[in-house]
This record gives sequence, structure tokens and C-alpha cells, in this order.
Amino acid sequence: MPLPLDRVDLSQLDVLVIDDNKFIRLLLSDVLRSFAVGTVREASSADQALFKISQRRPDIILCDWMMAPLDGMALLKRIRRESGMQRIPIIMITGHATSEHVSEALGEGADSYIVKPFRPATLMEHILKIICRSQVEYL
Amino acid sequence: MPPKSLFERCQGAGAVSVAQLIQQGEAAADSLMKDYGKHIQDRLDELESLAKTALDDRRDEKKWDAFLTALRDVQSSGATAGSVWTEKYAIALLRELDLRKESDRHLPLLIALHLDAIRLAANGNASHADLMGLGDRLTLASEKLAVGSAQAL
Repeated sequence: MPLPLDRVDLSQLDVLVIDDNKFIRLLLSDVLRSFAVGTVREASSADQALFKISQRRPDIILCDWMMAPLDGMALLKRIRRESGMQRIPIIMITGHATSEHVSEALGEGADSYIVKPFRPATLMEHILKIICRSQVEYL
Repeated sequence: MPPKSLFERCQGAGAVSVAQLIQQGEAAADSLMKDYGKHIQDRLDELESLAKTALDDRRDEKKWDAFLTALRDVQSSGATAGSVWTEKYAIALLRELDLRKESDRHLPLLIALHLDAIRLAANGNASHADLMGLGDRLTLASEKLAVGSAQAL
């Protein structure tokens, strides 16, 4: 699939990675830094994520679905209810590959959906789509 | 002046080729995945400890839940890191735990066998053929250790 942009400068981008799995947080953060993303922040739980979002609004959120005690879907619903957080683009990351799960995530307001395992190219593609969407829609 | 859109902020003078950034991302991911075994050692130690705690007090649902959560976590990281056999052994153990009651007398042995296999797979030193053979032997062990034989708790 052709990428929506040829060239990009991600140095002003602020991405929040939410995953209770330390290795996956590390992997996502390393890949984002290698994309030259300016600010990469991490949260290991939904509560920590909400606190970090309230401190400073990220441009994009990468959120794992399977977390405890509050899972990614519950966090997604919380974020979509909170004023000031509603329009933050959210990419859900999960091991569930069924169409029901995709529908559920998109229905609850996720902007896109990545199924594990995935390669950095897939992550970049999803980020670029969100950046392109911001041309026509305030995010 | 209205704030710049995300698109505008990502089109600065420092824009570089997306293909190059993807290449950098692939290299970063490959490097980390190569060391997956090292990164996950602490988690595997914790998993073993949680298994022991759950087996020591089998009626305590919270302890089982903590063990299951950690096991799913290892499965998920194995899938993401491309450690296929870590993921497969974790799924196999999850299946055993789903199939058997907490009181099953073979559970300690089955858990120990699967956790050893997960550690071996995560370390990344064993060949695919060896790990496949081990997977077959685990299946065989599971079939031999019949479901339903409970021990008094």
C-alpha cells in the first residue's frame, strides 16, 4: 500500500505510549524515537495515562487493549468522554484480530487499529494517515 | 493566529524521507527483538514466582488471576517480538489452565514444563526444529497427564 506522504518531520510530534507490558512499551518507544518523533512519553496503566494526558495533551496516543485493571477499551471510552481529550487521535494496539474487535474499537472512537505482531512500517502508515487527516479535520 | 495543524507541524524544513525513517524503525525493532530474551528475564522470574504463589494456595482466585495476567503478558510480548515459540508455549499453558481445575494434581508439573519451555524459547538460542520437537513433547505430556485427577487441597 503506498504511503500517504513521502517526506515528514516528526520532531514536533508528542506521542503517548500506553501499555502495561514493559517490553512492548520499550519496543514502541524505541521505534518512535528512530522515526525521529520529538516527544515520546510512556504510561504503564490507564490511570497513569490519564494523568499524563491531563499534564499535556499528546498529538497521538498508542494504546494497548489488554491491560489491567482498566483495559484499553475502557480507557478509550474515558478519554472520549473527557472534555479536552475527545479529539486526541488514538491508535489501538491489540492481539485480537477479529472483525468484531475492530468494529468495537472503531465504534467506541478509536481512530485506527493495529494487530500484533506488527512491523514499524505499519505503525508509520497509521501515524501518517492521522497526520494527513489533520489537514481536513481539527485533531 | 490559529494553532498550526498536525499536518503543518510535520512539514517543516527538517522533513526527511519516510522510507528512510521506516528503515531506521525496522533496524531499531530488529535490534530490540534480538535481545528479547534479556529484556524478558525479569518478567519470566516474576511469572515463575506468581505460579508458585498460585500453586501454594490454589483456592485463592486473585493469585491465579495474577499468574494468568502475567502469562498473557508474556504471550503478548512474544507475539510482538516475533518469538513465535514463546507465544505458542504460553498459549498452550493458557489452554491447560483453562481445561484443568486448580485442584488438578498434574498442574504443578505441567506449569513447570511449560515455563521451562517458555524460558528456552525466549532466550532465542534453541533452533526452530528443537522448539517444534519440544512443543510436540509438551502436547504428549499433556495428553498422558490425564485431566480430572484432583488432589485434596
